[in-house]
Amino acid sequence: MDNETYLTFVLGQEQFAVDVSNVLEVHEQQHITRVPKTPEHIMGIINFRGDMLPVINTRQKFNITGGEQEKYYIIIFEIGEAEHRSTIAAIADSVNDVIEINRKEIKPLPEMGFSDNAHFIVGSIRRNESFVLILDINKVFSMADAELN
Amino acid sequence: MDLSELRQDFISEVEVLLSKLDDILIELEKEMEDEELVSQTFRIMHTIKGSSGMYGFEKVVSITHELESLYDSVRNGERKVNSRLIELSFAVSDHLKQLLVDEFCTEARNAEQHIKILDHIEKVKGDYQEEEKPGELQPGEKSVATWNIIYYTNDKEQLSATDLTNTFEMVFALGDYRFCETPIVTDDMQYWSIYLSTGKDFNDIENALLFAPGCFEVTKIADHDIFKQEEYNKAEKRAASGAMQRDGEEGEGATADNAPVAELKKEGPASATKKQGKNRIHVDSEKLDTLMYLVSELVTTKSELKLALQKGNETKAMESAEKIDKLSKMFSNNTLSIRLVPLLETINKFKRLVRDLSKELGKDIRFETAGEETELDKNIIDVIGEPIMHIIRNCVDHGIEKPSARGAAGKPSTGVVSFDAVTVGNCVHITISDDGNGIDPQKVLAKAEKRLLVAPDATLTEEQIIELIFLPGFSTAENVSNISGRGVGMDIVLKKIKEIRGEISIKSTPGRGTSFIIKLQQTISIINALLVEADDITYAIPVEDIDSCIIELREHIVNKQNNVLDFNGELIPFINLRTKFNPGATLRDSETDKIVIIKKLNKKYALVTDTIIGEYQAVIKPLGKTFYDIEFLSGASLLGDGSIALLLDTDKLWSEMTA
Repeated sequence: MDNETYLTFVLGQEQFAVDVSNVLEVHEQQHITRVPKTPEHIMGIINFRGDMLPVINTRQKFNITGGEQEKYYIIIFEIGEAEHRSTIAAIADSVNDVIEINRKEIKPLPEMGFSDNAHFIVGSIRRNESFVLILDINKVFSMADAELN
Repeated sequence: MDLSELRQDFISEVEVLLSKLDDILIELEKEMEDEELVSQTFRIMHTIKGSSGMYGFEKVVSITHELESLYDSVRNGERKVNSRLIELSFAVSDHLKQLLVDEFCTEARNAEQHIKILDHIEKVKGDYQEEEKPGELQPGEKSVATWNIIYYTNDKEQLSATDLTNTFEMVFALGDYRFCETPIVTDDMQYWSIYLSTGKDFNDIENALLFAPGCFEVTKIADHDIFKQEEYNKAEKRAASGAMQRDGEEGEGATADNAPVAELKKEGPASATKKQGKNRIHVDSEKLDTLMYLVSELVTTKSELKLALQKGNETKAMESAEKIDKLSKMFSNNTLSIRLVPLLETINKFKRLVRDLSKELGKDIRFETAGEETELDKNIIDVIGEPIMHIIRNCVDHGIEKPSARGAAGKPSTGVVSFDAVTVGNCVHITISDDGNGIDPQKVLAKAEKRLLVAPDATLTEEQIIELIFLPGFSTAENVSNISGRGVGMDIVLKKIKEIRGEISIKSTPGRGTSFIIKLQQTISIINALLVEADDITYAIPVEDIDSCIIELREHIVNKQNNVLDFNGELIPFINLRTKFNPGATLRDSETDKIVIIKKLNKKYALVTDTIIGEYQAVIKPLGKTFYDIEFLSGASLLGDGSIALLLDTDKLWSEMTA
């Protein structure tokens, strides 16, 4: 049984899915505190279990335009291994169901039609008449993302 | 508790013992006849030997065993303490610290040092039997050879690792060894293979094996120390990373065989044990008793509150809420006090440093300490240790003159470096001084000008000149020694002190001496702050940096050239928190603005805000690596309603203004 559990969320018009083992928490409509003089890809900070966590602007990362909201969902991910493990917070327009995906279902991306950031997209599946892009969260956010520059 | 936790405990305990040992040795050096000190040293060696045996630190066992016997013979009057024994003991103490992290001497320099120490031990042992023969004392090349000892038994009895270690203790003590603990099993026998490099000869090895059960075969495989060979070390490293290949490599010969084995004993060679006892502190059990009491009070009060709410008894509920308020203050005080650690242990490290350095530089220095019982938050002690070490190094290296120079200047030949810590209110003041040659402002100025750190025609007060040494790229020493470094020191010292929101100042008299005064807060996690709001962001400003708050008419502030405003007749610069970080922001609709006047280290400036919220006791959390570059923010605080306030660094904010 090659089924794995994924969390699905929405950014703009796209649906994405990430392996739940990388997801620590999902926060609904949390207020993000702005921090002055931070570059665009950092939206601000939130309080997570007593620590301050930067929130990454995933919309910007995926070049999603249009449909800005007042408040976003925040997904807390854990990326990396062993000593290089770190926690990252990222926004989503909304968060949907947790689904099971069979590995065989995942179709690789077509060669063209995607920007060069596509290396973090493992593949895609069809669910309910639409495409869901499967993300390798470790490739989406690297340690570098946690750095300001 | 699993094994790795027990091991960590053990390592921490040994570190504490070694620190104590350094202290004792420093005293013993001055009082070589003191029997109590000798006993203490013996006991420490004995304790370390015993507990390391339990966790398999064979090299530690063998060395402490030797030292234990040496000090035992001192106790029995067979031997006297002399400077060579003391030097050896210091060297052993240092090496043991390395062994705690690098148990099998996988690092070349540790392996070399281990052999040197064993050598040194032999020399000291032989010290008393023979008179010192010139030439023999040279740490020359001993003819070291590598042997292979095969030990076999045909009892199918499985001997455990400790049994084997005990059996071979004598052999291991002869030199450096590689030992595979799981036997090579053939049809009718199992045998263990040991590789030993030693300057001893065949007879010595045989003697060592006299009491070992079973049979053994000793063969010389090389006329030099194989373990020192480049290729061997490389093979070991390769084997360590490719540990899976072990099965295929048996019987391939001396180098490949045992190399992977030693590494297989634990998951990752150095990394697992590298997490040192830095995360541990010793806590007064009294403080923990108070904590337990507070917890029980909290549980009771919480139940009272629940009950009162259920019954709709508002008065009772308010009472309980007030009790909880009081309890939370007591909790925070208690928890903060748990994190407080006395400076004692840190000071002991400095004692050792001064002793070693003064010996190395040929200076006679007395280190005086006071205030060892002063307590500081562990976070602070972790950061402040290095900067103080550096300052002390400077005092010993550049401050105190050589005995001859001191004599010429009419000073006693023993220089004094002193360390003093005292609690002043919520702060701790640490003063490090020397009675050396002081800092010459002229020299400093000249050097700074040469390094282009200051304009040639600038007029500076003496104080300002001396503070130039905090600039990066500076060093006043004529010869930059590798002890104090190439002028990367003082600016890092300043940086670290600022990191924990402390201050440092220097007082110096040329020819008489120098004093470094460091002011630190006892804890950095909780501060009294004033909350202000600008552009929908809440900021927290440390109350101690605030001079006053005023309300000023907008028209007095807006459209001012040079961003200065008039405060009681004084022109001071200001930053508008709203527009500064958000240039496009429009000002709020209001005739007046709330202004907070900041006074920090003689600099006065104003912050224009939208609202002044009020005073608040803020628990400060670090912002994290991501925000390191934003210097004017030194942390964040979680507010009661779940929102976050950003802590302003009033010092750095000043630089923002002038930028």
